[in-house]
Amino acid sequence: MIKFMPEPRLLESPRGRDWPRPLTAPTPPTGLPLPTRANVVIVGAGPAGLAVAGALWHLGVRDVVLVDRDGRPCHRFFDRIDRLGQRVLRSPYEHHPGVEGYRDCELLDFARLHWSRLTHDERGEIRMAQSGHRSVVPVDVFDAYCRHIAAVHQVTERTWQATVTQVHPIRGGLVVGTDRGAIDARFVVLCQGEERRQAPAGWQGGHWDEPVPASARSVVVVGAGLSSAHIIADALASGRKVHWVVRETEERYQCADVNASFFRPEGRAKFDAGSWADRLTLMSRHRRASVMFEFQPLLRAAEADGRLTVHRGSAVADARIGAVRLANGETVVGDHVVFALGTTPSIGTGLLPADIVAARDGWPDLDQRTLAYRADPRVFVVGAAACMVLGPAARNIDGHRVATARVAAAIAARSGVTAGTRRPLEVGALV
Amino acid sequence: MSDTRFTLPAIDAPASTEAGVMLLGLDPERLLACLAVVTMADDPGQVAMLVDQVRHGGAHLTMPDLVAAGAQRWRAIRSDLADADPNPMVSAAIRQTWDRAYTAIAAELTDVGPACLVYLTACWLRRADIDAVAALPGGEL
Repeated sequence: MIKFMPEPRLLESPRGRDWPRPLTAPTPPTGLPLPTRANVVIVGAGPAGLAVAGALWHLGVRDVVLVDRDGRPCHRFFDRIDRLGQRVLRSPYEHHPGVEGYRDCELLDFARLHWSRLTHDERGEIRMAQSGHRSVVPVDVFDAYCRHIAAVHQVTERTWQATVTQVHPIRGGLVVGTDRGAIDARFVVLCQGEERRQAPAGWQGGHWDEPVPASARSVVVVGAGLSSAHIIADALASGRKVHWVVRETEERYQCADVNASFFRPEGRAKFDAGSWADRLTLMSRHRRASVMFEFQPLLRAAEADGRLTVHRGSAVADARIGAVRLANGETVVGDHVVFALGTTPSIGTGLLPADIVAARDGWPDLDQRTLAYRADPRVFVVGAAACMVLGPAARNIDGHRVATARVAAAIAARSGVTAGTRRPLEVGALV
Repeated sequence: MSDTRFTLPAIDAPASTEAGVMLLGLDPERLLACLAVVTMADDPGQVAMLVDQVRHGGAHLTMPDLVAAGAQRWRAIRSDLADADPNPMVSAAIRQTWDRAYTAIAAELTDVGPACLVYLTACWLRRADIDAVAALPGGEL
């Protein structure tokens, strides 16, 4: 029997290596005015936006504009990761924003092509992935790969820096309003990702994506997910004493952040077969906060020697500067309080009229086959917002790939584009 | 504590071997295209990335032009490769096959760069497919 042994060293990978740059580097449209018209506008150039743009490129839909608040593909995604000091992704090597079915370079092959730049442990992770074992992906490899995918599919030069303020339906199309002007579009794909979950009103402290003050000698971390683990590990490495507040009776360690079956068609089919109520139940059961196994030895050792105190089984009643009061009456004191309460999916609220989002239990009303809003099939969404269609893995990079295939096929079919490249069979069914 | 049951093969293999056995899986047109631009970088990965850009319509180059240029280069150097590796081995052990061919070619062709060496070895081991493409009208300049 093969036994899985979590090894903390797998969490370590170098960041900021000098990856070979494209011999012909793409130029972002910095300083150029925003286009006034496009067939497709993609809102957000993170991994989901990148996947959609690449898939549309292969289907022959080339009149595509990406609008991103940062203006650089995947930059915010990696900025958040780097702020946490995260060095590996717990996604398998198969999950990436490259395009399937067009003989593009896969993430695993990309890593192997750059073998000389990988550490011994990183090479081991590749071998584990090749042999079907659970593996992790170095952030640095993923970053270089995303840059390559953005370059080859001409995403970099089509990504404009702007903040989208609304998507307004008009008779002949859609108007994408931004802080730099409006774009008339035939189709819009929302790839906004997720925003951090805010602490309840009145709670005082910092959030997981904000730096811990250098003067803090002790930290109280509220939350049970991977961000909490990174904040705790960073604090311990800095010599800080840490209090960890976990609402559940024990913290949860697991490989992926959802059950692996939801990454596969049979898992999605199980989700598809359920009623709305069944899906809500599955979502609440499988979208629980968890920490990568590799953190377990570090955190348990720190708890054993007193550097980490874990407060299990009690919700937070209130939080003030330097003190968290628990529902059981206990007060946890530290120099700085950090809330790592997870994220909430962006479902289009605030951009689209409420009758198009048609939110129910916090989820948008989407067409299952195309991931378009049923009230306006010209607007699509990829990412966590599609969880009630694709299951809990919709927010993961694998979910982006599944969603992207449906969205891109529907847009290509409705655009009447006949690409020179091979098209998925389902395109015909969606015309 | 490490688990020896996870002992993994060829972790310390040279980059040329790891990249090489992977490149053997590319279609012959792409290998020839890489051969055409192989002098632009020492890194075989960077060469593959450039050809990937060209395949997607970028880098101000075209795949037919690159394939034709690669085929010309192939025809010019094929006899040197045959001299370098007169008794090519056929084996199911792909890494051993690669290492043997790579070593033989490197010993004879001492004036080519590291990326060129990798792509010449890949083309040599795939010579039946490469010859077929290089003989096509599109493979001739």
